[in-house]
Amino acid sequence: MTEPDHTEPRPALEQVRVAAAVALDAFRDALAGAGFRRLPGGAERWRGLLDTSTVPDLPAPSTGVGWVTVVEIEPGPEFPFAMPSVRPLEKAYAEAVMRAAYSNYRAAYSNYHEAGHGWHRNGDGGMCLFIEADHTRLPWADGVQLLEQATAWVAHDAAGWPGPEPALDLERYLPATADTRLIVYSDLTGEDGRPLRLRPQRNDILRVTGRAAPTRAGGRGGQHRWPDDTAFVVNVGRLGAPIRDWAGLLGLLDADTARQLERSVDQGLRRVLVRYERHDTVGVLALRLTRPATGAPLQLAYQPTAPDDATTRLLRAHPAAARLSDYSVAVVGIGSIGSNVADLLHRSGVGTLHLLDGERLVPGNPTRHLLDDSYIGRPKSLGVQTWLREHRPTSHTTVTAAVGSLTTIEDAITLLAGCDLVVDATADSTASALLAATARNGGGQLLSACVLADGYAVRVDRIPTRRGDTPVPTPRLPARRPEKYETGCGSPVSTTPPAAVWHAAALAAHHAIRLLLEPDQVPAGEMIVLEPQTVVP
Amino acid sequence: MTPRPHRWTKEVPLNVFSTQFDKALENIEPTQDDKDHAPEAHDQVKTVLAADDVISGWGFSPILIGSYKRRVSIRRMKDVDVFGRLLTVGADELPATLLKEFERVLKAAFPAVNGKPRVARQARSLQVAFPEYDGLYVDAVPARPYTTPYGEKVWQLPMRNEQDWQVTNPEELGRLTTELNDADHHNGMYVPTVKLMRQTRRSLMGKKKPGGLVVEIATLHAFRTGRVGGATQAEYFVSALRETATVLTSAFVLGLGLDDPTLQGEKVYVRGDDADKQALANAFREAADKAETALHNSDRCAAAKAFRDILGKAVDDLGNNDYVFPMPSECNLDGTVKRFAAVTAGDRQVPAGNRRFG
Repeated sequence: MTEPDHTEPRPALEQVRVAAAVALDAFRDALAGAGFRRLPGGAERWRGLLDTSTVPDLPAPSTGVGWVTVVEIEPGPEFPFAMPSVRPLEKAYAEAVMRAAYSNYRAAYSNYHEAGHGWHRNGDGGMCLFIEADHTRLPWADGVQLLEQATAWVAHDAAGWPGPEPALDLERYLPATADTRLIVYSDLTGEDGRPLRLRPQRNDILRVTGRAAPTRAGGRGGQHRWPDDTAFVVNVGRLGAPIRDWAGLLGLLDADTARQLERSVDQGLRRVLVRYERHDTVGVLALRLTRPATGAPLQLAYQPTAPDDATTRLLRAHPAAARLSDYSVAVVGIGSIGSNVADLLHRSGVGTLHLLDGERLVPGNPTRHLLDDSYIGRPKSLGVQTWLREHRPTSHTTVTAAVGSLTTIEDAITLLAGCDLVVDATADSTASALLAATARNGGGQLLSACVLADGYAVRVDRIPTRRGDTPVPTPRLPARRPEKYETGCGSPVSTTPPAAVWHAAALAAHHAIRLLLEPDQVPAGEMIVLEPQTVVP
Repeated sequence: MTPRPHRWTKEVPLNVFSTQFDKALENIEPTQDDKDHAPEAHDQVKTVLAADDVISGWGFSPILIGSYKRRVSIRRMKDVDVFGRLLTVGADELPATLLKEFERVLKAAFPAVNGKPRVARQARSLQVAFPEYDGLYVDAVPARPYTTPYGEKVWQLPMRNEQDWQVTNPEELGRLTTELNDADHHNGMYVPTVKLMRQTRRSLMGKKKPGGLVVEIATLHAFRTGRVGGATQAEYFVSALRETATVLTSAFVLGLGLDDPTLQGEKVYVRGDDADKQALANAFREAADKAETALHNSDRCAAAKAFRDILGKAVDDLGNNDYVFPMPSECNLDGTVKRFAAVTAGDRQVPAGNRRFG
């Protein structure tokens, strides 16, 4: 790839700019057409009235025609690719700035709706609009649509938001701290009302560890001081509205906890971990407290947090991870495909993995293998066992490994009988033939995985198939390429590209999991041709 | 006028060009230099006159009037008016005496520079040049209190013959301007529309008389008909052009003259010959036709070109004479459309859609 030549005019860039400018022009025209006026100076802002009686099928007040709310709309510099902010104004301010334009309106038509401060407002006071919508379609780019959405927001806010509350993080409602370190916590059950210590770790992490202890200023008899790395845990239970300020937080606590927290703050405490419940899940909001000036109220800001426990990790495993934890899988051949199959099954939550391979990792392997250069020289099966344990220490998967190859019928029978599924990812024809013959004769369930003809296709086959199924036909493969050998004596090296290896591993893991969970639904096999026209190197 | 609720529709039927009208208004706004210099020049003239014993003995109480005061002046701002109210001047003092005294004081305070006099006697005022302020002038006009037969407390200025007096009420024009522009009336739309009308006159008629004040007064009458309005600046501009053209036609083509909105039963004295007055009315009528077509034209770029031609050019910040109404980004300068892929709501920007994971 050559560097772009910046001395040449770049029509594509110019065209994107034109497109954005045209979208902004149309947006402004829609606002102007709806009676909005652009405010002078500073960032572009428009002010105008939203009247719920102008949009059909919205909740309506018991008296008057509709609700009105004055809003300010800021398209922002990234319009139309980012959503404009729409901020409702408080009634007194709206009356002052809109004067007769508003007061005549109110007298003649409607009630002013003072927007609430519930879940549906962002930290900057803007309306949460288009939460569920398809953001790739930029629904706000159409000014009329944005105004309708904002008007519907006013009507629903005035009607008290019938329907479920939105699933939004509490962080959305507060400014962020300058401290961007990630606070990582595990189970905080039983820690309510207690001060915990945050220990700095590498990669900008603050991990919640054991109890914190105060220091004493001025020796014995001096006042307790909480070090800066202390966080006080409070539990506010089920939340009805977001936490936006210090008074709001104290109001959620029982009198004793509130007093205790205030006393700790007097003693220098500046961090609070707030446990809360929403939508049947428990969240933790990390607050940093600052006092801009003596006597001024405490300001709240949030610091990012992340839970670290098995539940959190399993959430990202297979959706049926709980069921998968009951199954055991053996992977024969821990080469490039087998190592990645083992890794995927480990990530997915399979209960037991047994790894079998007789070879050691050589310097050419890491290009396509799960393991990196630090494992060169180690047996592949043991190396992958170590790798999995080290990289996912909280995983519930048991990983066993053996160094050796499968050479006898007894080996095959024992292996197939000892687990729920064997994945054959070996290029060793003896082992493959033994496993296939044993499985076909009722010895157990086998899944064979491979890349065909150096990356032409990837394929999996189940043995035995379901009754009545026939195997996927044998493909016509492209002509062989000249084979490549490493120095010394050995088999030719496959020139299969890494992406084909990952593809085969993913296909195998996918079929393996389905074979465990719903064996009756899994066909005889699947082949995906990756290179319909053979690539000439 | 009672503000009405605005309803929006799915269709945006008009070429309202909010971005471009905003920019046009910015481009005709007096430069910051002019805005800084105007009050300084005004103060200098005022101070000099106030320091003179004769003039201060007449109860000199100057105020700022004119387009600058009413915030309707456009770039380049050429003059600022000092209205020299003489609260206690004797009823028998002739206009010529007042002008002579003003001239004496101002000539002494603003002597000629390099042989070029700075103070010039005009028909009813003294004009003081400020070459250091890029050619800005201050017009100082003496005025005495007067009560009309209708009981209006107004002012009188010297007439051209310097023997008689002419009645005037500049403060009322300022008050009317503020009122029409306030939130109870046109909510900030009157003043920018007047500026666009003044710019239109300058674009269509150049330096010929009648000048900007006549167009401003015609526009004020146009607003008072109740037929100027709309949600957007474009609609205000187009409807104001139409109604102002009607007012000007009535005044100069039908010969009914232009009512003075500040004085009952008086007409505005309009300078310029009849042919120029009629030409102004006709030019506004043609501009109104063109602007109405543009507002509804399905060809947006052709519409923009029409507005661009009507509003013409002004001096830009770099001193160049340039068009005040910018073409929209998607249009070429000749009114044709550029090639680009639009970004609009509802079009998928990402082919794979929204249910992506990565």
